[in-house]
Amino acid sequence: MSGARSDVLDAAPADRGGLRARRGEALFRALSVLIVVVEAAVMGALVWVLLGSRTVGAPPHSLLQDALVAAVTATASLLAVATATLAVLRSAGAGREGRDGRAEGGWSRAWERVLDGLDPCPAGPIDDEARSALLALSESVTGARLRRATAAVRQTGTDAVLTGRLDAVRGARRGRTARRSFAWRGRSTAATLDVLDDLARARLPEALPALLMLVRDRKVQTRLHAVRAAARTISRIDDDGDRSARSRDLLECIGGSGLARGALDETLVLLGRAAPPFVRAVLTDRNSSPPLLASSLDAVARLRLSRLGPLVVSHLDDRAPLDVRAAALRALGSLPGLPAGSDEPLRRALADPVDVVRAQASRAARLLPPSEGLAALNDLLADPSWWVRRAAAEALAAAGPIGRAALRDATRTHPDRFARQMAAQVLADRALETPSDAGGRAIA
Amino acid sequence: MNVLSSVLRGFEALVLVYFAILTLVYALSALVGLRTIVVAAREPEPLALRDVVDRHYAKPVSILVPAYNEEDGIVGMVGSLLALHYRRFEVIVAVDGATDATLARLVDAFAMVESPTIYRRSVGTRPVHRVFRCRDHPNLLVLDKVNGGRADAVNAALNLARHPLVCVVDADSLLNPQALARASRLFAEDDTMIAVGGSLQPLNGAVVEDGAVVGMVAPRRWVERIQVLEYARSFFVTRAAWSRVGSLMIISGAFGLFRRDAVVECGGWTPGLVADDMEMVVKLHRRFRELGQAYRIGFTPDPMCWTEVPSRVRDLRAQRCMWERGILEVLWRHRGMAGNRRYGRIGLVGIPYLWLFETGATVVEALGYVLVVVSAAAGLLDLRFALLFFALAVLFGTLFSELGMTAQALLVSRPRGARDRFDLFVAAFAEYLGIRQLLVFSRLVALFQVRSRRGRYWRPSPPRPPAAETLPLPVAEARGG
Repeated sequence: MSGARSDVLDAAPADRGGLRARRGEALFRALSVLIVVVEAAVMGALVWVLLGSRTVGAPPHSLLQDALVAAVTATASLLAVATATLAVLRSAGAGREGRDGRAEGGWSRAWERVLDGLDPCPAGPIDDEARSALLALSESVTGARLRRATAAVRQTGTDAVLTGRLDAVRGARRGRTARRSFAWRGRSTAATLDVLDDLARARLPEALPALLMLVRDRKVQTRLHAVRAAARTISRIDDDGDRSARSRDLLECIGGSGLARGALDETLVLLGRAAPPFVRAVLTDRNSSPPLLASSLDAVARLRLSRLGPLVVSHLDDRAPLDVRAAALRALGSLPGLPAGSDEPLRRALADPVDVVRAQASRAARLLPPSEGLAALNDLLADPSWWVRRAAAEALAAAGPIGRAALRDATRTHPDRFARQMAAQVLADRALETPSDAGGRAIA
Repeated sequence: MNVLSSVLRGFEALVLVYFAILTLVYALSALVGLRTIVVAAREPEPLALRDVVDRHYAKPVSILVPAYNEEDGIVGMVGSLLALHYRRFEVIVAVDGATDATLARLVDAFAMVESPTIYRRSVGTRPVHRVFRCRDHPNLLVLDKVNGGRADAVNAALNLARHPLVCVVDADSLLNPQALARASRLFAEDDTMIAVGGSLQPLNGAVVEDGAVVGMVAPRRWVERIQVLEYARSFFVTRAAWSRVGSLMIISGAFGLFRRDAVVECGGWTPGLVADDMEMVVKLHRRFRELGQAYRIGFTPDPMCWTEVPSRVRDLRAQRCMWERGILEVLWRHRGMAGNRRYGRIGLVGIPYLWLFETGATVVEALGYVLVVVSAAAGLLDLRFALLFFALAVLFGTLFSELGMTAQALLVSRPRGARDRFDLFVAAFAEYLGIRQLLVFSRLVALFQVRSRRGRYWRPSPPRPPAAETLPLPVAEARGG
């Protein structure tokens, strides 16, 4: 596991409950609605009496005072009801949550023994605490323990419970009417997000059809949770053919989902080993949206999918959207060598009128023949854009001993003052960040 | 006397109507903001947070820390930032002409070396003398600059920022270790997001272990308890509601995450203003509406940051006067947005609301107290009416505080014990027995000091060393827990 873990995950399962749905949410919602209704009524009555008395001309101050007394009484009653209910709720809820937390902690220890093969898997059905502990534990295990965890999800009926809940929230959402109250909408959203979270942990292939439908849901939070759950589920499918087919299904749903670029990036990361065929399908589909193309091209770079290099070339076209071109250039820069037909688009990008394109192209310039690439980067050191100058200097610094030698030369001989300064700056930065790698005299 | 009576009756009607509208607005805020709370209680959950922390797609963040005379806590604060759970970030401390040992302590503690740095001056600032870098923490930079105020220091740090997101934190704040992960998720989920605020909580009464808040108990002083309630109302009800309707107009300077290009587009933070944090958000609304670009300013009610609040009444007064001046400075600066359809909901609802029910509330409430006295002196006071109205205000204020505390409880892992809840409930009533009135009149006076005290910050008095009996109890011994 990465060293940068959330301390929430390091804590016992009981402590992780702090970020989950809290008991009493529904009642709190109901109380809020009651407060709004009652206060609107008493304040409205008060204002009506006040303004009405002005209109009539008679000063029925006693009537105004009666209205005020009614308002005070109503508010005091609300406060008493709210305080008592909430106090009982918090005490009972805290107590219940404490018991649930301890139960979940106990189940975590029991599941550890099951996953280690020391104890048999308990027969289903199991309660929510046991289910939550099992799903949480399955996130952090691999190999044989993961296989046992997956088997335990089936044997305990957790899969049936979760898919049943998913069907229930989908059914409730389909049955929504225009007159549903705000509180009910909130509850449905909350319930949907809860079950999607559990499915993201459980990774049940049979839930995929329903998850994919929710990727097109009208609520953005639901779409985000659903696509995350779907991507995680697909990544866990063992059969290559099935995994590829499911990732194509996801691609079809994502196309019209309107998900943000960050969410698409997240999806591609979460797809894991299912990402390469997904990316291939996106890059070969002429109808792919620009955000999806850009995310997929960045995935080529991030996942080092060098065999998809030839597919990157077609997105270097000058007519491609700016984000897509920039991502394609980033992808190109990550490849070990220039794919056929990419050298001319790269040369054009190095001279592009848009600075973002030039900056990205500079990172790929190292792939050109050495003399040409070095010369191009040396020229870009004097680019009018600070970002391009910085990118060119960093590209030279990352281009091995030859590049760093060229950068050192630039600090002394480049005709442009800003180029000399940028070259010196990048060399100094590298001297601090990678002392063993630095060349020349660091300014420190 | 008839004229006076008419005036008093007229004002009585005005105050009643005003109060009724304000009450309804607050009540609706609780309901509207609730959805924000409900969703936030699930998003991000540990699974998504781990995905953010462990994987590669989260946007890198530049943390900007303006520092002026923070020698006591700056090293610890920077150390806690460097330990944040986030994959790629840098910390840029802008020492704003400090006259104490702030810079020296940083250089010594982190073995920093002076490193002449070429950077792009996206925003004009006072001169920067030196830039220091750290070999052990390549993502830490410290710059030493000519004093120019908080906003100028943040802008100087902004110029050195390399990442697409910038996070502004105060040097005396304690950040939630997961704050960056939680806040940056909102940018990943919405391409139009340009700024995200988080909730700020009083550090007073918080139990801190290893640089993280692990529990809360009611502070011992009443003035601190009152502020605990205020912060709960403000962040978990009011701001949650405004965020829900796309009209959030303030992101606390103690923690805010912004898209760097959006901030640069607005020319950075405006120096010389007390409420430069609020002004940045209003400026973002203004600029992006003028550009006609889709944008969103978000808010996550998850506790992001803890900060020490005034523990003495005189310090609280000074702080609230500063805030009052700050709000009016910003409103006046952007007065052209008020009632202007070009600025959509912000111009038609948000800015007028601030004029009428933030600044205006101070005036109305203060005049209300004055006229009670005048009425009594003129023999025109209906004591029963006045007491009933006061009782109504106190009851509703307490109800609103209760809602805020409960909304907060939906988001924290360790809810307060029964004794703490009782103490805070009593504090909600006690707020109206002097402190509130004192603050109202102080804020009223502050409104007339906007010009004479322009840009003048208040800094808290140095805290007294706590006596042993005033130390917060560890969680295990918390009363009623």
